[in-house]
Amino acid sequence: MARTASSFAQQLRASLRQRDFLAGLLFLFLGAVTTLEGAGLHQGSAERMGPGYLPLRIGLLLAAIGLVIAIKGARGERAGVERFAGLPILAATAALTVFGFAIEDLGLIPASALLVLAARAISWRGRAVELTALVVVLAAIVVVVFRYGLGVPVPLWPTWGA
Amino acid sequence: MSMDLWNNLALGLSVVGTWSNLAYCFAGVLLGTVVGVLPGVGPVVTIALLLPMTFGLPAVTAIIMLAGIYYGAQYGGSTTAILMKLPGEPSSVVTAIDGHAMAQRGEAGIALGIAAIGSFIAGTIAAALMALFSPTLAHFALEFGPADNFALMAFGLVGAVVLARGEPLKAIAMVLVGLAFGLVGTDVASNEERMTFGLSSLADGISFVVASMGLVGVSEIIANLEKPEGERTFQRRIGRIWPDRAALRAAWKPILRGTGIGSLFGVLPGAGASLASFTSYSVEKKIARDPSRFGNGAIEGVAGPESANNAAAQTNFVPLLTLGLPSGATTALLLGALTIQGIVPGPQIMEQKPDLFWGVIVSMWIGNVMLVILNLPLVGVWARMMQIPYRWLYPAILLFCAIGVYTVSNTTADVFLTAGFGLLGYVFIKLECDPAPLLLGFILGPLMEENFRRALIITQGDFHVFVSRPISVTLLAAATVLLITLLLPAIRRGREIAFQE
Amino acid sequence: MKRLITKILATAVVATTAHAALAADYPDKPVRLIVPTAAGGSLDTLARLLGQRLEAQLGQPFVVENRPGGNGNTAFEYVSKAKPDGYTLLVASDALAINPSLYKNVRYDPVKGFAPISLVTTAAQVLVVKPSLNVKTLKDFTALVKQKGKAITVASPGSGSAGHLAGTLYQSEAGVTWTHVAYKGGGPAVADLVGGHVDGLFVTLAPAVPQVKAGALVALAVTTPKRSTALPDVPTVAEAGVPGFDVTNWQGVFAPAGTPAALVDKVNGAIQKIVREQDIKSRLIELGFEPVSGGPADLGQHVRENVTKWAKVIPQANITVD
Repeated sequence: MARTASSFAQQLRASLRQRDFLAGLLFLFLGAVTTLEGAGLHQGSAERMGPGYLPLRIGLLLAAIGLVIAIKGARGERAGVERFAGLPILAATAALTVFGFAIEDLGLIPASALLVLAARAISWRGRAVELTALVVVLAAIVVVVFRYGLGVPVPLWPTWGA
Repeated sequence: MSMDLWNNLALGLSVVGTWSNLAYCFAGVLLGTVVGVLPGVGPVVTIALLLPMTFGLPAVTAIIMLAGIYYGAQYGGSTTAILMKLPGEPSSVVTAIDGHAMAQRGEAGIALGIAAIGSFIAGTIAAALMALFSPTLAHFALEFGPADNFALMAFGLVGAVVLARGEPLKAIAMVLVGLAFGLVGTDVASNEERMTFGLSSLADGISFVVASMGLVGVSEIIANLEKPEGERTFQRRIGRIWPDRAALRAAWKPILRGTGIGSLFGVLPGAGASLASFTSYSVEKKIARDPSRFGNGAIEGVAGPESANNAAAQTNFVPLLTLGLPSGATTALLLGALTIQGIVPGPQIMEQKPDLFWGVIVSMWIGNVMLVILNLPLVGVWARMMQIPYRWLYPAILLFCAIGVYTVSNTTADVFLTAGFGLLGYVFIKLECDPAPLLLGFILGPLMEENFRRALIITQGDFHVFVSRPISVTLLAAATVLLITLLLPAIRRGREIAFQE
Repeated sequence: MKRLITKILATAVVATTAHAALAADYPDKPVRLIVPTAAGGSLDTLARLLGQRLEAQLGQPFVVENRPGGNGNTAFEYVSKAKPDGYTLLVASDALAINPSLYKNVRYDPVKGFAPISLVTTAAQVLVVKPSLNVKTLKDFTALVKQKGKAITVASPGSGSAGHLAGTLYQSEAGVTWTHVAYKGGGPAVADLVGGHVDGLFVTLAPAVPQVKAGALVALAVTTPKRSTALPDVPTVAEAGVPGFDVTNWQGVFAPAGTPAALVDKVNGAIQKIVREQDIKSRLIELGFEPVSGGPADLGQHVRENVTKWAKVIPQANITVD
């Protein structure tokens, strides 16, 4: 009994590195969320579908397919999944997030500078001069093209003072 | 009939063909291309930003300049889709697949050249088709009722599974994920919010630009950044700039097929134009001798969809001008701009204002010509963008992406959402799930639901409507057959494995 | 009496000069015109036309900024909370007055949240039907609905849209019930009606008039108390059967509450000049709008009336939306 348990744990650990097993789990998860959201809405009937009719069914189908993919993935001798790279994920998402927080309050120029710095935070290699130049050049391009060339209505600098 | 063709085109040409108009058209193409080529700034944003320039001009001049901007923006969009893998509108999603693979192989020039040539041929043929058959085409568009629209989209979704790389089952799952994302927002029939998790920024649904820039573009950046610097995609040699004879030989049939598919789908209101390029891609992949080349830089995968897209962009003017029906955000903008110039769409526009109708058509064709004249020499320049060191390029791409996404509806929520989709897209890359079927499901899902419900509301719940209408039953039958042929090999393979065991 | 008038005039002159200094400099930088719909729609088109002419009048760019979302609520809330300095203006329509009765959580006050500047245009809805239905008058159509009931389908450009509300109001006033079919915008609805896939439609004039003139659709009635310039032969609903029936769409320009009256008056003056320009006037009529004149107070009055009316009609008609 103990042996089956440990071999099960072993197999589970092996499965967690299996690409299709993980893909199946992801679909299962997305399907479950959709199902729950859909179930909370008015259903109606096939003839007169309510807003929840399709989400519930799409969710269930997605979860079912996810389950099949996961089982097939766990059983088959499929390729494993590569490691996820933490730093690049952080750099790209942080860059966009920082920009989103900055654009309306700090203005276009600081937001652009912050985005470039956040994006480059993972590869500081290269000299400070180069980085400064990149920030200045990109900010200048953005200001000239979007603000003056195309007239995008965003402030250039922080707006709280004005 | 052929007299009509020449008379119509000559009339249009006489309206727009002055030197100063041509100069405005050229300026439009130039601006459209230059802004559209900025990574992350898709055609919608480009056109929205450049529109005000045309307001002060006389109507005819404004229209021809708009034509230039329109085609410039579209081609600029294709250029970034190919070079940077940043699809800014539905039609460039498939271009990005094989176009970018070609660019990574050092064939950016060939891909861009074929895109320009294919677009030009498609635009020319489509314009001629319109000159001959516009009234018939307008009538054809009206035949499509809600049940038929639903069937068309169901057919399109099955096609999405064809175009996907990898296992059909995973592709089907991705279509479903796309459908689920598409349902986020306010339900058309009941006006109820759903799957918004209480976030007011999701009340209007997820914008296509956000989903596509995130899933395809940002995820690609993350994936590139984890590679050692030497292996990053963008620092390859440029290679050939012009398509050679072999490329042209491989491309001319897909171009013609794409033109046919695009001309037909472009007439259909609603999702017609975005379905055109997806369908063309699926057709090319289906009839190719070696479908495994698709996704790894098959030239047919660029030539077909780009031609289909451009042909559809032309024939789309039939429902646009006779019914006021745009096929997407880009054409909706164009329609708004034409309306400001006093072109009010209606069934009689062809008879009552033939000069304007044909002026617009010929303008669009001239926009195409200008595009080729301007861009073939520039292909080399664009291709050289690939040589900019990646550590300079990716902050720039992210920056333009952020501004581009923000500008679509001036909300910061869209920028955050793009980051989220970037992360999700990266997970999909790791799990080898192709985002293209997801994006098609995302576009078609809400339309499908809308039309399905509408068909049943109109018939008061009579499901016969889907099999009693000739268009609907034909399309549904075709979709079923396609689905079976898709799943058969998988089932057979499964059985073989079972037998071996 | 005469003295009273002189006194009022004198007060007005004093008030005007006091504000003149502030108003003289305005605008000295670009003004943002917030539009609550996506680019390309009819309200967007109106705003862009207006922006272009305002720039010519006042010498600074009037930049159209689309903030779609929540059927307009996003933009309404945004402008009502913007700085009242005259550099953030709103181009709004019926939704501003309808939404508070339609949605539960609306975070703006259509009356107190804004300084009304000017009504720009009004517009009628028209009831159009497909020719194969073989009805020529509203009476015949109503009789047909009485006979066939839910088998008759009448479309609208959207759930909760002015067309939906006009149709619902008509059903309750005329005592009939049909099947309502919601579309996403007027264009697709008109196309499906021309294709014969639905029987009738309440919609704004712009997409319908060309089809009516081409004989592809039959116009039965317009929803305004007066006939429309674009369709002079089509009776009003009030004439054709339901006296007092009035659904008038409107488009107007607003500033955030607290914007100095001098700036409001200056923009109002410019808009009033613009809607009288012959070129703009005919363009607007072609788009299905009726240019109207009036001061800030007229718009304020109009909004108040509309808010009250929809607050009464919507619960009665049992249209609820989350």
